[in-house]
Parts: sequence; structure tokens; C-alpha cells
Amino acid sequence: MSKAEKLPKECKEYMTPMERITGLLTRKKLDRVPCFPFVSAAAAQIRRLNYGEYATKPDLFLRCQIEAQQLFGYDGITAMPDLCVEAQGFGAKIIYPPDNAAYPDPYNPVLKSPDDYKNIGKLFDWSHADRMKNQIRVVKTIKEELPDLMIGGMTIGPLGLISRLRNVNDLVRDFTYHKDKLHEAQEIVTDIQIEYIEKQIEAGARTIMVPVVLAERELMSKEMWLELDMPYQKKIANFVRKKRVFYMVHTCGRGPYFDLLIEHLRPVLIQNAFLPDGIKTEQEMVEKYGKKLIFLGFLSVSLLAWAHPYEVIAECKRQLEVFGKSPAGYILGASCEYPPYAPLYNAMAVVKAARTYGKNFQTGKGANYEEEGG
Amino acid sequence: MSDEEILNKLKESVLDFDEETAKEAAKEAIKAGIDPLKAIKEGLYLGLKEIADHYEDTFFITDMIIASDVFYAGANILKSKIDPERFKADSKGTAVIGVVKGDIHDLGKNMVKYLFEAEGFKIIDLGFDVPAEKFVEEAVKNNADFILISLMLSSRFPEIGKIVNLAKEKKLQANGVKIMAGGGPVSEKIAYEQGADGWALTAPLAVKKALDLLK
Repeated sequence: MSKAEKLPKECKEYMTPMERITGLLTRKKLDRVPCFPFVSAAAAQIRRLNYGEYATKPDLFLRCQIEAQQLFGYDGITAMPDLCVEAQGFGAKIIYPPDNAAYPDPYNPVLKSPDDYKNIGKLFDWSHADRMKNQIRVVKTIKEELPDLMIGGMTIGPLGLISRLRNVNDLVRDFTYHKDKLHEAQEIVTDIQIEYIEKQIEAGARTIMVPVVLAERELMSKEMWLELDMPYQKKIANFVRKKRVFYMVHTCGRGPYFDLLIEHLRPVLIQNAFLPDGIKTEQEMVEKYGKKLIFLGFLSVSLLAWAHPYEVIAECKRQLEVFGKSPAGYILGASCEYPPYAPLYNAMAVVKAARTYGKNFQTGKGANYEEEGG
Repeated sequence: MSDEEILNKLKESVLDFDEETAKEAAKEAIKAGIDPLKAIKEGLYLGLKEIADHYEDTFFITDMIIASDVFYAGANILKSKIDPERFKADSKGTAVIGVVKGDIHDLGKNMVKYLFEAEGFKIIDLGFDVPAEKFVEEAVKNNADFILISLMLSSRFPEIGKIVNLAKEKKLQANGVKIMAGGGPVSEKIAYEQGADGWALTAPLAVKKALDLLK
């Protein structure tokens, strides 16, 4: 698409973001395809905040999230400033650089040896879990101020959290040498994360997104994932479903194990950055898994970061042609978090593409784990 | 036990992830008078190479890390018997490696390091959260053949370009230094757009790419 090319007329929107996404999940016809560019830390640009300010000042974080959504009009917010929210509650010293996402102090991990796993529960206390409490407040306030928006909650999952409390190189060795101790820690962490999820749901979260980044060929074998991560992720998935909230998963590494995620976790939606394990084309992904669950994506972070808005719109159009016909349904969006440094005009381009090329969107049949979804 | 059996035992110890056997076989190799460098190359290394050749097919990151531990357990015993000058003469080159500024994910970097060392490169490991200037300073100081840039955060992509530009100021690429970039979200397009000479999807492929660039 060139700059000179005139875009078709945008649709007239008659649905709220909440109606649009619940409509998709419950198989209704929509005014346009829902879109979710996954603007999280990038929203800091709205108020010209640096990452450190954004991550440590929940009120400013909240204002940025609300203003970014109002400015661009995308359909959902999953508000999490970085992946160290839960780690802080377990006593991790979090570093907040001005130009980068927060991370736990790599020189001083909370869990220094495998023997520390058994005490992981004693490390956590709601009274000092300020970042988790702030997140719950953020969800509650967004829900109050933008009642028509789909607000999502999140947890990084048991092993995701443990990877922020222990040196990752050591953790990988623990996968082999200290499985029992790791299981003990995961049992404890999972229960705390479920409590955290429950509080987010009570605050107004209608979806819960959980990264399942270990279920990827890039990171571990299927057997190891089934043994080490799956049982705890499943416990979380079952809890979310019982609460009648939409359970979604996110993967961002190569070769995600869609087959296992579908079999064991049964997410209503999956957001992935790379093609599933054993799948060679986008079309094949739609054919093999499109009946089971809704896809979210598949815009790459480099496209959003560096492409011209016209290129973003052209790619959105192409993806709508491929994924828009996916039997269960489709949300146009980023394959991972919108790059915090990326210009926000490309988030605007995604919404524009949804309004232009995704109008009168005939949604799919919704996630389907019954026989006909096979 | 014949020399061949000892070499095979070294290889199998890596494939079996068995550190104790690797140490034992290394000692047996020394006792039997096998050239320690040969014991590394034709014993331990072959085990690690087999794992690397089947990476993400039969073996995964965890296997690579544990196998590397076994490799080092045996290799450190054997290396103590090798004249450093001989090591230097046999080296395939020197590589400076690190994770870029603002990124602390060093698992991938360590895998690349292990495989490059096993292949016969001298590695200068700068760790993680490394400023662009440090990559270039250390490359100059150590007369490096490669600068290996690792990153896991897409927000850090511009660091590749920063290192490339600093290297250009020092005319490193013009003098034959190759810059390679890789890590989870780094695509081939991004690496080359930022000015790198090489990119690889996985750690084993990074070694192959480096060897190609040396040709």
C-alpha cells in the first residue's frame, strides 16, 4: 500500500468495546473486528513519562492507560506495567531503569539455593505486596471509569514468577536436579496467584491472560512441560473458568505447543508471536486450530516499532484476510506487548485498519472444545 | 580400555548428562596418555555436537545447559594438561560476547558461549547489561574476530545498531571483525537492518554461521 492510495471509508461503530469482545466470544455479528494492540508500557508516552516513573507511580500509570485507550479506541486493556509485579510481593528487589522495563536485581536473587524453595510461601505477604495491590486498584478504577471497556487481569504463572526470584540459569538446572523442591514451591505460588487472580476478578477483570511461555519448543520438551508447568497452569485455568471469566493464554517463543495447551488448558483465546509447533504456514494454523479457539495477533513487534503506518495498515488487511475467516474467531492485534519505545501512531493504524477492513465482521463460532470443534 | 573406548565414554557421558562419568573418563584419558586436546575434540565435543545437531528436535535448552555442564566437568580436567600456547595455536578465533545494555536474560548467551568454546573459540564473556561501548572496547583490546550480541527484549533492538555504529567508528568491520546478533525476538531482518554481519535462529546455528563467516 502506498501513501497515495486512498483508504476505503471507515465503518460506523455501533458497539462498545465490551459488546464487541463479548460478542466475539459469544458468536454475535459485530460492527467491526475487535482489536487489541496490547499497549501497556508504551502508554507512558502519552504523558511523556520514562519507564521508571510509569512503573512506580500507579496513579500516573492508570491515567496513561485510560488516556491511551480514549485516544486510540482499541477494545481492551491488560494493565500490567512490567513482569515484576508479583515478584515484588515475594521480596524481590526491583530495579526501575528510566529507559527500560523493570527487572529483579540479577545480583541478588530471592531464592539463592534449591533449599529456599520450601520457604517461598513465607516470603509473600499482602501487606508488602504494593505492586499487586496497585494493580488490583488499577483494574478497579479502569472498570469504574471505562465501564464499556474489556479490562483484563493477568498473572505471570508459577514458573514465570519463580524465574524472577531465582537466577534463570540455576532454575534451568533445577528442572533436572531439584524437581521435587520446585514442585513444592509451585504448589504454594499457584495458590497465591489464584488469590491474586480472584482479587482482580472482584475488581472488574473480565478476562485473565496468563503467559505460558514454557510450552514452547524453544524452551522445553513437551514431556517436561507436562511434568513441570502444566499441572499448575491447569489449576489456574480451571479456577478462572469456574469464576466465569474468559481464560486466555499468551506465548511469545518459537514453536508453541498448541496441541498441549488446547488439550490441557482449554483457553478461549491464544495470542502467539510464532507459528505453533509443527505448523509451517498461517493458513495451516487456521486449518488445524482455528475451530478450537480464537486467535489474537499476529502483528509482529518489529512491524509496530519500525514500519510506516501505511505498512501496518496493509499488514492488518492481509492478516484479516487470513485469520478473519478463522472458524472460532479472531481479534486483530499485536503478537506480544506493543513495544514500549514504538511510536503510538502505529497503534492508531491498527485501530484504523480494524475500522476500515474489518467492518461488519462476521465473527466465528467461538471457542469450541466439543466434537464439532475438532 | 582402548583409546577408542575412552573417547566414546567421554562422548557418551555428555549424551547421558553424566558429570561423574565425564570426570572419570577425562582422568582415564590422561592416564592412558591420550592427547587431552584430542580427548576434548573427539570425545566430549562429539557428545555436545550431537545434542546441538538435534536441538529443538530431541534435545532442548535444559539438555544443552546440563550437557554443557558435563562437557566442562570433563574438559576442565583435560585442559589443565594442555599447554596454553597450544590451545592458542589451535583456536578458531576470539569472540567477545554479551547481553546488551538493559537486558539481563543471559540463558541464550550462555548457550552460545558454551557451544563456541566447545567448537574451539576463545570467548571473552562480558555478562549481561553490557553497554555498547564495552563490546567495542573489549573487541579492540582482545583483537577479537567476532562480536556476539545477545538480547531477549525487543525494546533493546536499537542496541545492536549502536554497537555496529561504534564498531564502524573503530573500523572493526572494515578490518574483518564480524558482528553477529541473535536472541528470542531478533529476526534475521532486524539483525541485518541494524548492520550485523550474521544472525542465527538458535545457538547451534550461531556456531555454524560463525564458521561460515570465517571462510
